[in-house]
Amino acid sequence: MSVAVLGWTKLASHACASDVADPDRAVLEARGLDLQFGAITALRSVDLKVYGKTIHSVIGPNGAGKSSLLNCLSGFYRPQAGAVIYRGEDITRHAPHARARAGLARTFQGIQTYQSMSVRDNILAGLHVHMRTGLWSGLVYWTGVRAEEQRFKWEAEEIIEFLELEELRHSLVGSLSYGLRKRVDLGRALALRPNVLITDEPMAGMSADEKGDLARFILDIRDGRNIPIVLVEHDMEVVMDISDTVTVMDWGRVIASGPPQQVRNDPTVVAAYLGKPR
Amino acid sequence: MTFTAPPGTDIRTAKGRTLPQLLCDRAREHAQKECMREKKYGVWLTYTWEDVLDRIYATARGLALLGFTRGDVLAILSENIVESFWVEYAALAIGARVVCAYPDLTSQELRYILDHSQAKLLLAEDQEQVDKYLMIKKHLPGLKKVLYIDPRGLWHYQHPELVAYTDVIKAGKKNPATDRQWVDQEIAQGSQDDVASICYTSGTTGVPKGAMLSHRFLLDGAYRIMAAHRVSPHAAYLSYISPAWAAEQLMGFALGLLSPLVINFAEKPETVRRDLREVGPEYLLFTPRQWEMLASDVQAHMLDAGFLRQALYRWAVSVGTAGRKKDASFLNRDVLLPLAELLVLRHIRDNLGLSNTTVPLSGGSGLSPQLFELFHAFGVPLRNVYGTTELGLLSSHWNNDFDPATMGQFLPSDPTIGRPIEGWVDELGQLRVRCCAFSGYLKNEAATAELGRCEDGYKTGDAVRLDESGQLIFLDRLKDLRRLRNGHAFPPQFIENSLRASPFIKDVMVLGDKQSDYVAALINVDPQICGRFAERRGLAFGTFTELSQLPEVRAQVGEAIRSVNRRLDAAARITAFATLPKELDADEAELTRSRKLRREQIANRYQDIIVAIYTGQESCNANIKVRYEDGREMLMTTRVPIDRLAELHQ
Repeated sequence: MSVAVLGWTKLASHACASDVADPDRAVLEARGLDLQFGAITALRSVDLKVYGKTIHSVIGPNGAGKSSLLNCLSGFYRPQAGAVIYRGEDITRHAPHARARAGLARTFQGIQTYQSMSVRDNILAGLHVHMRTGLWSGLVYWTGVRAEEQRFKWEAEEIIEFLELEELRHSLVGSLSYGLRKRVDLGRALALRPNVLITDEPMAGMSADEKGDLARFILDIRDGRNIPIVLVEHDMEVVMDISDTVTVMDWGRVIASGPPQQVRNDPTVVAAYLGKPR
Repeated sequence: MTFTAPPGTDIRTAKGRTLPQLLCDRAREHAQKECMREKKYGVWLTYTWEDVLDRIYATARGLALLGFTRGDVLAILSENIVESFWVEYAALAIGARVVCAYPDLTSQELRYILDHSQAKLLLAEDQEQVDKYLMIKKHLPGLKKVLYIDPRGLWHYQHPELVAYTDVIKAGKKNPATDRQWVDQEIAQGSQDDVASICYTSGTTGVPKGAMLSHRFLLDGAYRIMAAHRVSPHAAYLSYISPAWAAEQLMGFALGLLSPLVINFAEKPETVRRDLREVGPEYLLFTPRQWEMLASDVQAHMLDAGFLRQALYRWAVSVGTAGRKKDASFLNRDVLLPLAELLVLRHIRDNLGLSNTTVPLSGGSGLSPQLFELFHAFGVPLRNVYGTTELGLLSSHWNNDFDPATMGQFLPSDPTIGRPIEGWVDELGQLRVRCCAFSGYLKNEAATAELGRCEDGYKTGDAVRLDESGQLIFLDRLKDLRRLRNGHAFPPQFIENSLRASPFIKDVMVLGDKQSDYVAALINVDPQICGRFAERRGLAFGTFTELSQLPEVRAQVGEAIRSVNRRLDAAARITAFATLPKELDADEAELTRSRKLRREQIANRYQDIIVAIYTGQESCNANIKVRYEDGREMLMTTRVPIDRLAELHQ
């Protein structure tokens, strides 16, 4: 038997050991983020700390600024004030692709997969960011290129197994159900070998069964691969069930943050979601 | 008249060895040859006999470290995976007994088996199976450790009895109290009469009984198939039927060593179809249900095909049927059949993964003759095999002459183990046999005694006929052969098997007894096929209930029943039927885990419909209690029409 296959599982757990070992140190941090679009203020002095091996959910009504916060964390928006700190380094000025290369992976509300490619090829596409061999060696197809290609295939297969997509590995993504396409999207994010996974409404539009499956995968990503997750999600039942920390936003501000039970009973949160009693 | 099986002539006899002893022999003879293959991360990984033996030795030493010793019971709750085979062989090596349970058992069903067998160790494949154990652990004080294979989801579990299988292997390799010689000594202590495996009956007639199967019994059963079908050494075999079924203990475990075979394990149960095609096994045992699913799959694809393809398929099947007959004309056999092979039939075999299959077997209850003929038309030489958990495999089609309506002839036994099978039909119409049998039911001497003694012929409980050439014709279970009020007998199982050949019908229960004037049926339609059928005709439906009650779907079912009725005596024909408004479900105790009907349960749940059928009503309101996965129960009320075939004819 090829022992390399089993060895791969260790390789696949990408999260930095120090992130897991030091639970008091935030892996990703937003410090006093301000973001404005003309006269509209999307974020006001937003602070957020994501610790290793945790699921940190961000919730809030529509327009609360959740997606804007994620866009600031992943580099698609540049805040007017404040900083984004990733593993102790200020990355506020870094471009999205540089953050992705450094280990900040992101999935979006809409599905970002290649519909006319197979599940496996979609995941392999996510791995290309880590390709080390260049154009010339690729043209000649040297041993190094072949070895790298083989390694990527193993890695893609490991993700396929992790997300239980074996039966569909050769299926075109466009032919899959919405829930399965979302799962492939998550697989492509995992192919980036993330140290932090930022995921924006991954369960939107899913059936109860599909939500259950995805919640299980998110927990497995945290526990099995030691990857902290920033999750924006509207399904409160799922959020309260799987999160370690919940941050609640309203009108661009953080109005509460803490363990799910504490946040659930917070009167400010109740008022923001249900309205103040007259 | 008594029929005796011919003596076995294959030289690969057990020669008094136990399963672990045979394993050592094979590992010595074929150290570097393939023994097992599993698909992982999309590729097939190979384990040689030496690899497998190393793992079994390490596992055996690891089990010893956990305090597991000779005579203890290991329970296995897993799909067919390579690790479950290693652990079973390792347990047998140190003289333990093994109980395999169906992986889809509920926790309460599992509790009965673990408690009754007094299992000391449980191998649970993954979190789902571990959770089942945790729900019942307080009732199982004798169960000391639980090994798990897949650690996913178990990272935070804080239960001292949970042990990762990888840790058992690692610890076993370093176990200072044992070494390979110790394992060799343990293996050498084994005797062919030791109980190797305990297989629980499906419990169709009450609580499951634990049939104890010795090494001798398993090896004789394996020899019967190997000698009759000339299974070649190192033939590829796909382990797919559950190890909880005695057939897999005979085929995968015992025959895998005796022949030996290369055992292949699918990546996941969902990928079996694709894996089957990649493996291309030479030797295969499926249940009739699995063969039916393969045939349904082909038929479903043909429903989606265009007119030309459908016509070509129908032509090829008819040529395949005619051209393979013994008295086939020159035109059919030598001209049309090669053409049909070239254009259609070999592609179907390839798509089904049956291109290399020389010994395709159907075991369990009977397969309908129509399906049998369909596979023969495809060029798949399907053979029936008949047997019982207690007496092993007794008969099969094992020469070129066969009739799909029969179960073949008695199989040759291992001359180093026991006498040839002798069988006759007693005055009740029951098959009686003398052969090497199981070692009795665990803790149930009364049930063991009911089976009778070898000298008098074991009572199989099956109503059969033996024709002049010794071909066994299975009619039904003796107790299931039924009579109507007017005294006419009818074979419900034959009717049910024949009806299941229709792609529209997934399950069927035939009704009729001494209080009834005619035969009727409850039909569970196939939601996939019927769904496609309805979509193609633009018929609106939202749920299974709506789909099952569509007049067009019921008409298709009626058509299938009429076609089966033509092969029955007038008195045995189905006169009325109803399609069930919900699918039969094992979780609601309507089916056993091997998908056999639990008739009493079904009769109770659908009492309203049965009453309506026999009181001549046109329809009825059925009140059915439905249990959801979260344990909630709801009463479903729906209008169910009763179809009467005489009316449909008009």
